[in-house]
Amino acid sequence: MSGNLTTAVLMATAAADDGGSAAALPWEGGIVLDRALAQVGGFGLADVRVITRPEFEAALRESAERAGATLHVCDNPGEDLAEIAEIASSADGGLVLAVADLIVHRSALEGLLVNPSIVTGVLATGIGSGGVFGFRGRNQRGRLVSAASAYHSLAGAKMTCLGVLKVSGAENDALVETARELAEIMSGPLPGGWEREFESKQEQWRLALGRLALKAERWAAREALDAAGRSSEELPPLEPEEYTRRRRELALSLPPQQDLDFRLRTAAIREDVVSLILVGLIRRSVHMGAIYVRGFFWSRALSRSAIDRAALAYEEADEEKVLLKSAVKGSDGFFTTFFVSTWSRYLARWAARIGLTPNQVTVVSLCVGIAAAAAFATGERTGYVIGAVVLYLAFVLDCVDGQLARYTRSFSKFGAYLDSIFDRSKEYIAFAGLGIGAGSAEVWVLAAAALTLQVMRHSFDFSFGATDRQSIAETEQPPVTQAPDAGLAHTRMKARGTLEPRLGALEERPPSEAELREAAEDADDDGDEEERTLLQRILGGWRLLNRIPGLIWVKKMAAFPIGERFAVICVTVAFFDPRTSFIVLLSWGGFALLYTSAGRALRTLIRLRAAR
Amino acid sequence: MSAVPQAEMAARLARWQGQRQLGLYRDDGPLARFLGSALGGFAKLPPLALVLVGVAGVIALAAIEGDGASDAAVAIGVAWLVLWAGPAAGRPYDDSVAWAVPAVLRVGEYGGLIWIAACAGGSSSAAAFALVAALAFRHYDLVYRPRFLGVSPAGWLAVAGGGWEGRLIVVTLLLLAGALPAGLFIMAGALGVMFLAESVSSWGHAPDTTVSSYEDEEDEGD
Repeated sequence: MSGNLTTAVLMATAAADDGGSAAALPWEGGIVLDRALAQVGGFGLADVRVITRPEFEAALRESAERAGATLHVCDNPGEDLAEIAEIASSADGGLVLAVADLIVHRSALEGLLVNPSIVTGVLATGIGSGGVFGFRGRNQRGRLVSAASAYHSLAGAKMTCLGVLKVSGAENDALVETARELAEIMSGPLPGGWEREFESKQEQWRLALGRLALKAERWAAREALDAAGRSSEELPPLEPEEYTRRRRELALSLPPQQDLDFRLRTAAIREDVVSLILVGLIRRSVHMGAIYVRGFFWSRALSRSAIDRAALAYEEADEEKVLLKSAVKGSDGFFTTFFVSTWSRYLARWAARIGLTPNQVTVVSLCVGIAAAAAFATGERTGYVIGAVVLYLAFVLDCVDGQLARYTRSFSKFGAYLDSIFDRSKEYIAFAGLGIGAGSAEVWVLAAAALTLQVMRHSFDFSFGATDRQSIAETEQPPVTQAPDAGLAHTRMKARGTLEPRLGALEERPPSEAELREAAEDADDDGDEEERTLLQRILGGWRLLNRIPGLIWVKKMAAFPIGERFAVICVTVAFFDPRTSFIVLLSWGGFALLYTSAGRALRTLIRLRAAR
Repeated sequence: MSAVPQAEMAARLARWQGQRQLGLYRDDGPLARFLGSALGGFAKLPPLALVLVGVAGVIALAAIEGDGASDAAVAIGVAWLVLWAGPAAGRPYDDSVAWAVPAVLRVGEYGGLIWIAACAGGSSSAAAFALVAALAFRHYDLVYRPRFLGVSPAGWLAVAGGGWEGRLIVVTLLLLAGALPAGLFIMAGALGVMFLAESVSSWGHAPDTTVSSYEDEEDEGD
C-alpha cells in the first residue's frame, strides 16, 4: 500500500516566549498541539507520533494521549533525526512530517496530502508571503530542486517551504537513509561551513528585521507629525548612506518586539529537522513536488501575543471562500480567466452541492461539445450561432470539472486523464462538425491542417517538457554535507574561491553598491547575485516584462491557449463561416508556434551552454 | 556516504526515461525500426536533421505539385520521407534538440496523408480528416496514458498500427490501386476502433503509484 499515508510525525520542539513549547500555546480552549492532532486525525492516519523535548513533555503528554498519539522525548535534533529514521523504517506506507506549531487551514493540507499527483512534496508559499525567517526553495516544472535549512542555502529562491513534508511509501528507504545520515552528522561536530552559513543567515535576518524596524520608525515619525497638525511631507527622505547606517544600527540592536522574534525564531530554527530532511531528500535526487497554500491561512506563532493575533486572523479568514477562489487554476489564459472562470466557479459549487462528480461533468461536457458539432454540421446560419453558444457552454463545463475537483478536493489520476483526452476530443469533434457544415473538400483540407498544427504544437510541448524534466532530474546534487547548493556553490567558487558565505554584513563600513541600490524587495536568502550570461539576461528580461500590467495577458494570448481557441471557433463561425474559423485558427496557431519555438530555442541554447 | 553514486544512478535513470519517452512519442512501425537498426549506425547525422530532411522533402513536393501530383510524385515523396526519417529511429536522443523530432514527424505523417487524399479528390479529404483524427487519439494517448495513469499503450499497437511509415505506405498503395476514399474511411474506422478499444481496456489496470508528478499549473510554458 505504498500509495497511502499511514504515519504522521509532528515536531513539537520549538520553544515559545514563556519557555514552554510553542505547541502548548493556547488555541480554542485547548492547546496548539490538540489542533494539529485533530487535523492530522481527520486524514485517517493510523500512526501518529509527536516528538518533543524533555522540558515540554509534561505540558504535551495529556494532549497526545487523548488523541491516541505516541509521545517521543528527544534531547536534541540529532536524536530527533534518529527517532524519525526509526519511525520511518517501521512505517508500512507514506509518512507526513510536520512542525506541530504550524497553524494552517485544513484545505491547504488536503491539497498536499490527498492530491495523488504529488507523491512526495511540501507545502509552500511565495517568497513575499513567506516572512523573514521562512526557508526558501527553488522549483522548476513543479519540482523542488533546492531548499534551505538552518545550515543550507540556495541560489535563486522562488518560494518558501512551510514545514510540512509528505513522503510516499515508495521513497521510504531514501527517507530512512537521509534521516540516519543527518542524525550522524548532527551528533558530531558539524561539517565545515555549516555554522558559518547559519551565522550568515542570522546577519541577513537581522538586516531584514532592521529594515522592518526602520520602516516602522519612519511611519511613527510621520504619524507624530500628523498628530501635531503638520504635514508628514515635512519629514525629509533618508539619504541612501543614512538609510543603510540606520538600518544596520537597528539590525544590531533590534527593538524589543523584533528582538524577541529574532531570538525565538533563531532558536526554533536550530531545532528544525523538517527542513534538514527536505534538503537531504532533494540532495538524494528524490522527486519533490510542491503545493502552494494560495489564499489559505497559515501561521507559525512562537509567543502568546502572536498566537492571539493568529487566532483573530484565523477567525476572519473564510476558508470556504478561499477554497472556491483557489479552485480556479492560477495559470489560465485571458479568455478563460475573464469570460469563463468569473462564473464557472459558482457552477462548480452548485455541481458540488447537488453531488455531481468531476468525471460526470467531464462526460457531460463532451456530450455538449458533440451537440455543438451537430449544430455546426447543419451548415445553416442558425446552426452556426446555436453551435457557437453551445460550444462555449461545453468549454465552460470543461473548466468546471477541474474546478469541481479542486473545490471538493477529489483529485484522481483517471479524472485528469479523462479530462485531457476529452478536451482534445471536443476540439476536434467541433472541427469535424464545421467540416461537415461547410461540405467542401477545401474546408476539409483546412480542418485537417488545423488539426495537424494543433497536434504538432502539443507534441512540441510534450517532448520539450519531457526533455526539460529529464535535464532537471539529471542535474547532479551536491552531498548534504555541503552548505550551498550547486548553483550557489558555483557562483561562490567563481567569485571568491570558497564555498563559505561572506560574513560581516552588520559591520561598520561604507555601504556597498547593492545596499545603496537598496534591494527594495527581500533579496534571495543569501544576497549572492548569480552571474548571468547574455542569453540568460535576455530570457530574464523577457520574464521581467511580465511585471508590466496587461502584458502578461498579451503574452499568454500569443501562445494561443485552449480558451482562446474555443473563443475563435465560437466567434468566427457565429459571424462568418467554418472556412474563416480554420483560417484564423491556422494563422493564430502558426504565429503561436513561431512565438513559443523562439523561446524554446533560446532555452535550448542556454542548456547547451550549461552542458559545456 | 552513498549519496554520490545514488545521485549518479538517478541521473542515469532520468536520461534513460527521457530518451525512451521521446522514442515512444515517435510512434515508429516495424519498417522504421528495421531501417533504424540496419542503417541507424551508418547514418551519423543527428535524428532531428534526418527527420527534417525527410519531412521538408515531402512537404516541399506537396507544395509544388499540389493536388494535381502524379502517382509517381506521391510515391517518391513518401519513399523520401521513409528513407530519411526511418533510420533516425535507431539514433539515440542524446542531443539537446531531439525534443523536436516527434512533432516534426507528425507534420510529415499527417501532412503526407492530407496531400495524398487531396490528390485523390472527391470526399477523400473528409476521409483524411477522419484518419488524422484517429491518429491524433493514438498520439495523445501515447503521452497522457503514461503521464496520468502510469501505463504505456500496448507494444503490439506499434506493429498493428503500422507506425507512421506503415500508414503512409498503405495509403500510397491505396491511392495507386484507386481505392480512395473508401480505403481511407475503412482505415480511419479500423485504426480508431483498435486504438480506442485497447486504451479503454487498460483503464482499469493502472498501477497504484506513479513516480511522476505533473503540476498542471506549470504545463503551459511562458
